[in-house]
Amino acid sequence: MKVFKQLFTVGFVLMSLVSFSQANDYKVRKCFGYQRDSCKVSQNIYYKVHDASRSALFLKGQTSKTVLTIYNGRDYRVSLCWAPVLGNRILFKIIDNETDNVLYDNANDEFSYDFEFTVAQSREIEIQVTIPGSSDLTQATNEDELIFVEKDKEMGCVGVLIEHMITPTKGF
Amino acid sequence: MHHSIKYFCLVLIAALLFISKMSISQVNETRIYDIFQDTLLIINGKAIDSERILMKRLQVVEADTFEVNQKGIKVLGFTMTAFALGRSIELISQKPIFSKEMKDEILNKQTNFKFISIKNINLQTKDGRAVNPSLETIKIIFGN
Amino acid sequence: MFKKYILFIIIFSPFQYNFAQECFEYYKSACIPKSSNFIYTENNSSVSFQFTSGELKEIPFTLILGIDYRITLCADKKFEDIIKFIIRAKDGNEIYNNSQQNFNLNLEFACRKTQDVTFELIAPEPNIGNNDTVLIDGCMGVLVEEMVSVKTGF
Repeated sequence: MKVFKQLFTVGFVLMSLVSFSQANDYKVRKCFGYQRDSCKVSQNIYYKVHDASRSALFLKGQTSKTVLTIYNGRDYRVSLCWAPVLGNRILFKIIDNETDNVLYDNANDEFSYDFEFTVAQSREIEIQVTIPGSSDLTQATNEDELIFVEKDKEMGCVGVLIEHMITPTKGF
Repeated sequence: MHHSIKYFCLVLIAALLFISKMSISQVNETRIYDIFQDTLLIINGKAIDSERILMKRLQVVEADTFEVNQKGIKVLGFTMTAFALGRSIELISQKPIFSKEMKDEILNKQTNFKFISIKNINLQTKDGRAVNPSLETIKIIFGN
Repeated sequence: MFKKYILFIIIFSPFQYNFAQECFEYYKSACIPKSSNFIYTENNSSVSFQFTSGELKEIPFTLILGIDYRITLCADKKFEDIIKFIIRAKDGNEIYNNSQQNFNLNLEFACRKTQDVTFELIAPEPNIGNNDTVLIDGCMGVLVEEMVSVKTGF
């Protein structure tokens, strides 16, 4: 019983350490797995996590995009999660990679952190993420100047969780 | 005694690490509203006590008149918005029910909106006073 | 037992130190950077020295593109945290001066090109009274840390 208790404790501590290092680790693995640890998955059990889900370290005022191929007859859910240091809302757009048309802009949807949609035509899209605010690093132009960045106040992890499923046909 | 202290310390460290982890991912948390204290909308007999709610499309379109959990307050109208890939709509109802156009959009197989948002909910007391709902926007996510 | 006691007193006697020894590796104990999610490693240019009112100390340094730096300055309390810190480029241009930033003693920065610079530290001028000038003597530490710039965005 005593051995079991000790094993349980050690296991619990190790698991805590592992989960902690994955979620808040800018040191070695830099946001690795942040979307898995921090983004809320859909309540719809038929959604499966897409391999294109990813995370990155972002700077205030930074814009970056990731490309995703979406297929006809599938539903997708794109959800974002981010470190509180980046503020309480971040902007994201879904852009048609071929035409550059903005297909969704969360600024028109109360800065929603997620967007669910059905695909009627296969295509390549860009998920563009913008962090509000500004940082010297994103604004610096002169090569001679030093760029003062307080990393802990201006940088944080952003996760993009992509879920997908075959569009359900039943129900209506 | 010594072992108990060691055990307690280890559990405490683990708990602190868990709390630290939780604290970095609380941005998206939604508040749960109190059905007795807050002014909430009732759709199809269900009081909407969260900013996001999962419902079936049929449950939504078959909804009778919208009600409010607080006595003497009625719904005068609301706005429904919906977003799909490359398409968005904003429809206004001056009645406490989904208009036919709204229902058609909810059931639109081609666009297949996966969610709708209800906002600008116009509430009024018996004596004609305007009241704000506790939840300014409700997102209804369709389960099917 | 008595001999050991005498030895202990000799070793730990405060009178045996002079200022230079007192300031030895002062930065290691006095310059404590804020806790951070990012790991910096100490650069060999970190230094401690004795500082006197009105004195200028110059430390040559090379800033490297792709490396982020964190500099923590710490001085004896007698200086009341008023230490002027200038980063001067090779051509003499000031590329940073903390007197425009309320004598900020903690810097975190990146650079856009590799360049030789000089860190200039200037102690406050001595207090000049009616009859005499009061010089302040104390330790000064400069902790220089670095890390490879982190990639941001997807």
